[in-house]
Amino acid sequence: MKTVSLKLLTIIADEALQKRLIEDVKKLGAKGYTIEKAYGEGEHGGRISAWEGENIRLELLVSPEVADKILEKLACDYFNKYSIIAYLCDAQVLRGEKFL
Amino acid sequence: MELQALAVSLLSPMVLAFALGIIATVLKSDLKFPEELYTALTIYLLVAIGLKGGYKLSITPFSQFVYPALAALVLGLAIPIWAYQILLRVGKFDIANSAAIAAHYGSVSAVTFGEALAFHDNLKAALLEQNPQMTEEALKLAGGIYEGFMPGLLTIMEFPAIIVAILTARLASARLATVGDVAEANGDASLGKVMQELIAGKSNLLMIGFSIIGIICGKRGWEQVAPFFDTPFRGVLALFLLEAGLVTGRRLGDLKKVGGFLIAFGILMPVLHAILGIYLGKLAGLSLGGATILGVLAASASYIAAPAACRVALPQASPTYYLTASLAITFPFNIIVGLPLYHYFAKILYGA
Repeated sequence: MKTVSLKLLTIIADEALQKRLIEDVKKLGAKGYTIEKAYGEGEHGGRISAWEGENIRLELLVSPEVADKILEKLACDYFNKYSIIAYLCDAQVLRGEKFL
Repeated sequence: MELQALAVSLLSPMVLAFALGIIATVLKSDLKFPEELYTALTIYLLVAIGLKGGYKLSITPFSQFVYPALAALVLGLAIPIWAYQILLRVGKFDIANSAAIAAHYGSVSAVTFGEALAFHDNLKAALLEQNPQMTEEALKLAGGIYEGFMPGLLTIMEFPAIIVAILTARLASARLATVGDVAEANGDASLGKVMQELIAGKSNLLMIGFSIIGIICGKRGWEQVAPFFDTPFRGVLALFLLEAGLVTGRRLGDLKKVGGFLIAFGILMPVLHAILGIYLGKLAGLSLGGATILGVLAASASYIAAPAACRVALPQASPTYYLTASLAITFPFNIIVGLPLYHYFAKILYGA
């Protein structure tokens, strides 16, 4: 099968940031996204119930350039304030041109 | 009589369900509420409180409501101001944490409020059991009756404190910020956005919305939905408190982390606020029961609306502090010891 090389950008953040994050990644060129609820524990303590606040896992398939722009935005506006995780993986994507 | 009040409060199914929740976490039980159930219970409680309050408001003359409403507003605006200063200066918390904790203590807890209503209803039942001939007037003097419009006060006190606390933090940080720090402010949600989220937030929207629905529909409307929103209210409250016990149980371990100051703050401030609330309630012309409930509102700390707002507006503040203080210290203190204690204070203040 013919695939396209893209980046899978994963952002784990407080659910309260969902709207802002989506606005920002769309502005920076992401064509779409997938969101799941996420639970876990880290430096900022546990995020284990709806009451105490939950995380979301936001996944985007984007070109390396867009991925870079988004990471820069996160570093500039989010990292100093919010507990947030972001990482990139390489992805071979079917019908990848949809995401460019 | 004081013992009776204590028994009324301790031996309610709601408080015992809360205790069971804590025991379940200590025993490492697999009991866990499905998340959707937690959300559903919250919505039910907010709708029930708002609707009943609205209906009662529709049958209350405006002149009777206006002074208590003013007292509630003053409490909501003033509590976060001194709470913030105490946390900052005595507690040595940073700006964000002081403001977040102050927001929690100035705002109110609908569940503590629900428990306060149940406490007074039970007290009335206990009084009538002792003396079935008791008149309405005597019941009022003993604190068995309260004004029906109390949920209106709950609604009024829900979010002024959160806004005052967030503004205080913004002003304090702006004073500290040098030119180099201005870029940092980019990450902040704008104040307008925070206000929009507070007003449109589910707890505010449901309470204000259903209060208005209650006012519009009046008695006929209320009677149509009362079988669903009135009778099962305490059962739902018991379920919610079981979940609150589970969360509190998990938070108990954090008590060591938050330190002695916050534990003392979480107990002493509610007592002071309760006395102030009861006093203002008396000035505003509330009955003994009504003033006690205003005291409970002043004493209670939010853990639904305020955490949600703080996560967005004060992200640097740590939930370990504000949630542990409001949920693991103040909430249990208020529903177990606080209610009978505040009832006792009110009786002294009213000379009953």
